[in-house]
Parts: sequence; structure tokens; C-alpha cells
Amino acid sequence: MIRMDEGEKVLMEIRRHWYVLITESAIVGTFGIFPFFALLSAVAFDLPERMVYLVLFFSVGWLLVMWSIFFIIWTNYYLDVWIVTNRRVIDIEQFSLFSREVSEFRLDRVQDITIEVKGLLATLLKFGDLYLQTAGMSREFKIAKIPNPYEAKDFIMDQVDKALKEKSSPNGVN
Amino acid sequence: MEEVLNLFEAISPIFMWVILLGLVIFVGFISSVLSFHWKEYSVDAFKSNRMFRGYLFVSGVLLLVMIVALILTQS
Repeated sequence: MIRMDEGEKVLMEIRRHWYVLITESAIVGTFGIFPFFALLSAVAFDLPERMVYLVLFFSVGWLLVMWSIFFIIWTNYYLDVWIVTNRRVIDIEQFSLFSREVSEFRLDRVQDITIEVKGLLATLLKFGDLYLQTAGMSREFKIAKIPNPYEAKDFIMDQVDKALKEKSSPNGVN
Repeated sequence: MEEVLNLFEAISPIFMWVILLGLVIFVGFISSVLSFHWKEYSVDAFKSNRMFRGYLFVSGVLLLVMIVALILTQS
């Protein structure tokens, strides 16, 4: 479980657009339809009862494998996230199971945010890439294909402003 | 078509139980791997528990259907 500091609150979780999940699981979805065709064919060809149960057995087995693969894809999708708290941004990149990278930076270190919306589909479905540059780091943080990137950018900038105000105030905690 | 039917007819019940056992082991392995990931890396424990239980429930139902189909095949 991702540990939060005392008084730290999760304000937003940014995941990639559902379009990414759909494209990644399209092949599994397509293969997942096969068992239904097999079952329909078994009934349509009026096969003996035992044969129908055999087809049902193998079809459901196939469906079980597809369901498991889909859930692995879903897990990778769900755990690949940017967590914006009132103090920092945690960037978790889930490449695959057992392969991940976690970086984090304090909100008051954020220097600029860039949004990139490329292509007709991205414009229509409202998703894009968000780049974030922090002070003193040569590396740029990126989260690809997030929904409503402009709203996410505005939200992060608001939190950055708050963090900077808190830092500059005499009673600032950060 | 008849060749396919003959092929199905030739499948022995023991072979089918072995397939079922293989799938149970597969689901068990995937469940333990996914359980580790959801427990270690998620932010919201309640949400992750719910999703993981969803996976287990659907997998359980599918395995149950397979068992019933297998028993009916042999009856």
C-alpha cells in the first residue's frame, strides 16, 4: 500500500483514458467472443447432449483464461497512476506485473506543465499527454493519454500555487 | 464435421479432469500474483479488495460451470 505522511491527503488520482484500456484489451475481447460462437454452433448443429457439454466445458475454460488475461491488463491499467496529494505528486508507472517505477516530487518543486493533444481521436475523446518539469531535475515527468488533460493541469497548478503559498507563509509547514 | 465429433468423442474424462486441474492451478497462481499487486501497490484498500473479489467471483463461477459441464458429460 502507498504510504501517506501524517496530514497528507489524496486529492486526485490520474489514470490513462479508457480508450487505452479498450485498445489494450481489444484482442482479448475478440478472442473472448469465440466460445459463444462455439456454443451457438453446437446448439445450431443439433449435436448430441454430451457434445454440447463438452463444448461448454472447453468454451468456459477458454473464457476463464481470457478473463484472467483481461484482469491482468486491468490491473496494469489501474495501478499505473499519478497520485496528487496536498504535498506531492507520486508517479507510478506500471509497465507490467513485477515491473514498475515509482517517482515522486513535491508540489512546490513544479515549474511548468505542458499538455499535448495530438490527433482527431484524442481531440474528440478528450485525452492527451501531460508533461511536468520540476526544479533541479533534468528529467521530465510524463503521463500519457489522460482524460481531460486541461482540467488535470489546472488542478495541479492550483495545488502548486497553494503549496508555494504555504511554503512562503511564516507558519508554512513545507 | 464428423472428424471433429470423433475427436471430441475420443477425449477421455481423465484428460478433462487434468485440464480442469491445470486451470485451477492457473487461476490460483494468477490470483496470488494479482493479490500481491493489489495489496502492495494500490492506494485505496477498500476499492482494491472489491475489484479483486470481483475477479475471484467470476473465476469461481466459470470454474463451477466447468465442473458441472464435466459431470454432465460423464453422466
